[in-house]
Amino acid sequence: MRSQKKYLNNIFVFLSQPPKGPTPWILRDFIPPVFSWIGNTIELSKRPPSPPTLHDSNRQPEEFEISYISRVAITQTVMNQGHPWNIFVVESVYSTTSESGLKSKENNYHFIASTRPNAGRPSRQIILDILSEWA
Amino acid sequence: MNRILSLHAFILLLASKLDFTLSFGVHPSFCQNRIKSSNKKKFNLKTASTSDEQSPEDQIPDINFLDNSRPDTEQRPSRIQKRNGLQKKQIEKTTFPPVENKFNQEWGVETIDDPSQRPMCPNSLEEVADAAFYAISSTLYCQQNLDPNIVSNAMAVSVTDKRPVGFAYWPAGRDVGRLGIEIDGARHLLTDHSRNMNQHKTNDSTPQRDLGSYDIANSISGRMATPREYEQQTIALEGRALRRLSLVLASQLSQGPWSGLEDMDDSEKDAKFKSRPVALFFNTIRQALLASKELQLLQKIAKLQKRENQYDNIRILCLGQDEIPKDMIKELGLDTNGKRRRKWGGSKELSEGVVNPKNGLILIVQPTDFNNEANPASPVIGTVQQLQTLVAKASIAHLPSVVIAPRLTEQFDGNGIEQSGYQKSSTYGGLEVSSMRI
Repeated sequence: MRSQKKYLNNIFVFLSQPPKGPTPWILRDFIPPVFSWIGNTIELSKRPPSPPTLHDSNRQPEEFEISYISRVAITQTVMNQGHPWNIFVVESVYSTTSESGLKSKENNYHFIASTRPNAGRPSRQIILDILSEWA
Repeated sequence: MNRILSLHAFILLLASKLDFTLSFGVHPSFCQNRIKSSNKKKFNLKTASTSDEQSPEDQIPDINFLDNSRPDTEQRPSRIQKRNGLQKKQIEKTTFPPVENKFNQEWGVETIDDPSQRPMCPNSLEEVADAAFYAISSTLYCQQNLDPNIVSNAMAVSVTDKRPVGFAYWPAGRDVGRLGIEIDGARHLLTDHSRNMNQHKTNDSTPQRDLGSYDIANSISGRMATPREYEQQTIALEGRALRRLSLVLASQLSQGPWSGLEDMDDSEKDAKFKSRPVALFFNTIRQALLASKELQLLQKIAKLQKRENQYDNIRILCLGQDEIPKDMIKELGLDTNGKRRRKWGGSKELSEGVVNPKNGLILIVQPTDFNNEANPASPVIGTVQQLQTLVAKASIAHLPSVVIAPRLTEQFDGNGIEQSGYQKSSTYGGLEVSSMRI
C-alpha cells in the first residue's frame, strides 16, 4: 500500500489509489464464480487400503474389490435455486481382476448436505462437522 | 347582548360547582382512561378466551406522558423490571444449542431425505465441462437464477452483513462479460474421462489402465515415491487435467448456436456463426505447448469418433505474449473522411459491460503469478498486469472473458486472510486462515 496523508484518498500526482480491502482488486469482477467444482476439499485417504491377505498364506488374492470413502467434493452453480454449496462424499471402488491383472478405480458421489451461499465456501471445519454427523 | 352575558355567567357558575378545571393541556387522567379502555380486552393464553376484566398485574401505572423526564409514581421502576424480564425470556426461547446454532444460523446446513430429490455431482471430465458450459452460457444471456445475497444485502443493517453479489446492478446483463469458474482437484476426473474414450474406441467393457488407476505412490520404478515426488506428480497431473478440461469446455463453447439461448437469423446462417472462435490463454509458453499437444490428442480421438470439427475453433495462446486474434475483434467503421471511428455510443456500451458472445470468447486458464509446475517453483512477474490488460481489451472488443481457477498471490495479505472477511475459506483456492498458520 502506498503511503499517503490521512485526508487523501489517492496520490496527488499520479492519481493512483490504494487497494480497498483484502480482496485482490483484479478478482473483484470475478467473484462470486458462476460455477465451482472442487473435487478434493478434504482428502480422507490418499491411497486405497491394502487388500486382505489370505488365511493360509501371506499372499494377496488375485481378485479383490475394496470400497472406501476417499475424499469430499463440493459444487456450486448459479443454475441452482438459491445457489447452495452441495457437499458430496466420494466412495472409491478399487478392484483388480485376475484375467488382465489391471487395476481400476471407480468413484461414486453421495450427497450429504448443502450450505447457504452467504457464509461463503464451506470451510474444512464445517465439512468435518457435517461428516461426523452424517457418519 | 344581555342574554348572552347571562348565559356566560350561568356556565361559569355551573363549572365552579362541578369543580371542572379548564386548561389548554390534556389532563393526565384523560390519557390514563384512554389507555385502560384500549387494554381491556386481553387474550388469555391459558383459557384461550378474551376477558374484559384486567388482572392486577396488567394494570397500567400512572405515567405522565407530557413529562417523560422523570417518573411520577413509584410503580415505574417495577414496570421497567417487568419489561426486562420479558426480554430475557424471549432471548432464551430463540437461543439454539451451540452445534445446532452453528449448523443452522451460521451455515444454513440442509439435508434432503428423499434420495430422488438430491442433487447429482458431475463425476467425469465431460460432465463437469457440461455443467460449466451450462452456467457460463446461461449467465451470458441472463438466464441464471438470481443470487440470494441480493435480498439479504437489501435487508442488511450493517455493512459487514453485506456480501458480494454478481450481476445485480442495472441494466440487466451488466458485468456478465467477466465470469469466473473454480475448478480444483481435476486430476480425480481423469479416470472416467479416459475410460469413456477407451470404451468409445474399443467397445470393450473391461477396465483399462488409465490415468486414474495410475498409482502415484508406486509409479517411480516400482518404489514408494518420496513426499516431494508425490507432490510434483500431483501438480503435474492436476495441470494436465485442467488443460484437458479447459479444452473440452472450449470445444463446447465454440459450437453454435447455443440451444435455447441463440436463434439463427437468416443473416447469421453462415459457417462463421455455427462455430465461434474461442481463445485459450495459458500462463507460460510451456503450458501452451503442452496444451497444444493435448489438443492434438483430443482431435485424434474426435476423428476416431467421427466428430472431426469439434476442436477446430480453439486457439491456444500465451498470456503476456499473444494478443486477442484479430478476427475476433470487430473492425472499426470508416467515417466520411475515410478514418476509422468508433461507433457512436461505444463508451456507454463499454461502461455497461455489453458483450456479444457470438463473436467469440476468451478463456484464461489458471492465471497465476507463482508457477508451481516449474521445478523449482518460481514467481511469474507481471501476470496481474497482463491479465488486466487482456481483460480490458476483451471488454473494449465486447468479448466475454472467463477466468478458470485463478491463483494469484494477491489473495494473501500480511495477515494471511485472503478474501472479503466474512468467508472462512476463499472461493478461489480454498485457502483458510488456520491452514496459513501451519
